[in-house]
Amino acid sequence: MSEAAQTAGPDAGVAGSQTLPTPAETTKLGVWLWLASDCALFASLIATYLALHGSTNGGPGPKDLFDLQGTLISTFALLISSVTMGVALEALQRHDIPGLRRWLVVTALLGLVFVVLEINEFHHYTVSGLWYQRSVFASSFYSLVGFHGLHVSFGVAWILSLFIFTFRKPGGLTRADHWRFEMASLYWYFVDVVWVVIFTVIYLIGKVG
Amino acid sequence: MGALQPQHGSAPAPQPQPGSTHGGMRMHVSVAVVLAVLTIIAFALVGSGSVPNAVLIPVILVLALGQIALQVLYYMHLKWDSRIFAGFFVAALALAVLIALIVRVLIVL
Repeated sequence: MSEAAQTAGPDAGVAGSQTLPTPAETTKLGVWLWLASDCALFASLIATYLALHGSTNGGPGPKDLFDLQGTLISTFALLISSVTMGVALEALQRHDIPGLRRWLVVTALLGLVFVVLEINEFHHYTVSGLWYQRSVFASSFYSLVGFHGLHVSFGVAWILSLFIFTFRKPGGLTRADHWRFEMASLYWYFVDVVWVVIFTVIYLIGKVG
Repeated sequence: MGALQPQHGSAPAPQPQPGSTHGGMRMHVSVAVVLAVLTIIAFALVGSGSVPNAVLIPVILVLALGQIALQVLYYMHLKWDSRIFAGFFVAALALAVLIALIVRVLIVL
């Protein structure tokens, strides 16, 4: 019998096959709601950037600044981290806890590589004369890409907290604990999806548009 | 069976195990290879500078849509999960597009 059936209560039979969602399903629903709201936030930032990216105030614009080689490396760091996150979940399924820990660390490291490359990119742009208040283009660009970078940083912190969590369960991870990892992976994949939009709309189209 | 049943047509489906990764390692690697190829094509097209923008921009947008679809369906499990989650994703996308249009119109005005 599933957890939902056990917790459905006496009215469950009246409603036929209708049962209450399990706590894990409710959590997943909550994460999806959170991601949906984040989607709206990113949409606002992207739309703001698209409307304002031409206002360079005499400063450098997208064509002058964007380095596709660096963006490609960042993109691959995130892409590979999606695979390593999947490998970590596979290890969890096999109850291979050392494997889970190893792949969580690799995923976090790839996320850190992305963040470091982004900081380096921002530094390079600042040195090239594009500081935050230089133009409307600069403000909208740093806000959007920086907001995504914060998401990646948060994801790295989340993954590292799960890594620590694996050591704090002396009895080993239970089935219920697995959902913690799946929710983190959902968030990590979402961050990757948003990056696909950013590198396409901001960097690639910005370079040619 | 939980209330948020996964999609498996009309046949009774087993409740997915917590942390289930569905397609397994092969799926993860296959999707990653396709994503990598699509990414390289997009960057190569822009880097070559030989494709006119009227063709280039729609092509790279389609490539991006392909990448997003692959990630959402396979990595985020929407291919297997409850339709409620797919509904959330579609609603979020619709909301995102609506907000983007409103912000754009407000800024232009």
